[in-house]
Amino acid sequence: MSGEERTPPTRSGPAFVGMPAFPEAARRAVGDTTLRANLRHATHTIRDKRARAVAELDDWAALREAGKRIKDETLRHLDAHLLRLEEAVTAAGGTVHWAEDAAEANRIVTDLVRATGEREVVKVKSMATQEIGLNEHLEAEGIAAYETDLAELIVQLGEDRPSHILVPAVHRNRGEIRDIFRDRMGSWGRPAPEGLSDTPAELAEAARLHLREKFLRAGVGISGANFMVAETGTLVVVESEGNGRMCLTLPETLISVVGIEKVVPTWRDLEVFLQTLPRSSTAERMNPYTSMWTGTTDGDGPRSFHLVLLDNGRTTALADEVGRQALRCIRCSACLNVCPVYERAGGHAYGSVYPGPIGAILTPQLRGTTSEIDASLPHASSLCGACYEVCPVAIDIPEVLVHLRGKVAEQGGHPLERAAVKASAWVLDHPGVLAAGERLASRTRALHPRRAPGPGVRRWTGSRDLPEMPAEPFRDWWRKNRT
Amino acid sequence: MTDARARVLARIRAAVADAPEAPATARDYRTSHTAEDPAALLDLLHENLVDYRAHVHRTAPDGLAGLIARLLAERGARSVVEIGRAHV
Repeated sequence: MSGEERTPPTRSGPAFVGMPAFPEAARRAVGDTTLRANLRHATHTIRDKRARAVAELDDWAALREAGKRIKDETLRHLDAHLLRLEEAVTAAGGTVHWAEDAAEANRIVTDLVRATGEREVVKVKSMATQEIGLNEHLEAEGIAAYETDLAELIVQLGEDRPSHILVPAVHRNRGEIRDIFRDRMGSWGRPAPEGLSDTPAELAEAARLHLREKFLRAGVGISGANFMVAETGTLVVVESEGNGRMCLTLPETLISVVGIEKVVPTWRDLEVFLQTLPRSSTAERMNPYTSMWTGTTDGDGPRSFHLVLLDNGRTTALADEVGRQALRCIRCSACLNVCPVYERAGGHAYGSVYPGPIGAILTPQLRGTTSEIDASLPHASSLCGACYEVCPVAIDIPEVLVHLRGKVAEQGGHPLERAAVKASAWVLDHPGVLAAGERLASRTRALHPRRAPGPGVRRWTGSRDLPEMPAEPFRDWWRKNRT
Repeated sequence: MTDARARVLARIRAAVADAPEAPATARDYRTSHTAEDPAALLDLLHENLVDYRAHVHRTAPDGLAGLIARLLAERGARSVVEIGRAHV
């Protein structure tokens, strides 16, 4: 590489700093019966619907393979596709910015908002801006960012964290949402109507009235994008509510923050993903709103458009020959909905805006595995493979999990595991010690507990009996009977 | 050219420098999931609109005015907003 190469920039996810490692967070979550009931209901409903929506297409396997190959081919020549995209966006009247990390992206967006003179922005639901902690950064800079996706609004009003890629408030039930609206809407804008009930229709109407005021006043909209078409410079946002389209069309200035892996080479490539994404994600044949825009157009939509291309660890993932397939992800969340670990532990336990199986392989690659939470994520799986089965771009998540476990082990692994392996290596290298140990174990077997004692071990063995110790060591038995 | 741009592009090139060429995209999926028969297509559209909780009515051109009048009367509407006229 060139001489100007620096150490990769630091990456951050402010909203989740200081999270406990996955096992601890998951243990707390599984004790929360409301959370488990909410998650079980939500994941099972969408799981069954997805299976039906996918079964309708007899060429699903071909679409999945095509999606995988389009992404692989794009990633292999990512530099060329990004340059083509930049050229097309610029030619259409947009401005392209490049951000190496979260801090740089946040700075670029803040400066762009400041230049408009506005003190508030409306936001389209976006994983990339969650990842870089944009709302928190803007708040610190004195700019209010209003989430307009219904579920994101619930999370924001509740001063909560998202727990699902598609439905960030999946951990909340209707009663909880009613309480949040009733108690919190007033301090953010238009208060909830008097006597608000917890029926979906009334909750949606309360959100509609609250948000309408924001849409009509906003001078700046901020979004992500599901896809960026290199050949035309077109950005694509798919959604269910139409709130995203309001943010994309009403404000004078539109700023989109998008990961570099979201580019697809041609318009035609969308014919694959616009079939596989909605069916995998919401189990719909087609999402209700598909917004596409190419730069700016006189007299229609925003007058100025800025695209911020975000690296923030993606090039590190791209350099890993096994791990790079995670960059194919189109954020459908099908893998979350089928995952037995996610269903029980919930999204918050993953300590990142990307929860579930995809988060367990994406987060450690984007942020590195130096923190305890990130090093524990590749172990947040039973390797059952359900995530791979449903992935519309065929990411072999179990393969990447095992690969990342290996990398974590290389950097030192778990201290208890290291000590145990070291001790057993010494015993196995000393036959006399091994024989004495085996005999001692056999003679004292009546005294052995049925389950392994001790902190750390008990969590795994609490529901498992230890194997019964034989009356004498096998090697002694062999010597007596066979020699 | 900004420094960030140059550095991101350099990191991408270094990351995939030793990667094998990706196999060409196979597009052996269907380009259509429906029959060419217009009547069957109309039935499918009807069915899917209803699935999304729309009320679907079918009429020939000479029945359109009557149908709209009946739907308005059923709702007791005395005035309507015409969409799109401002741009015409």
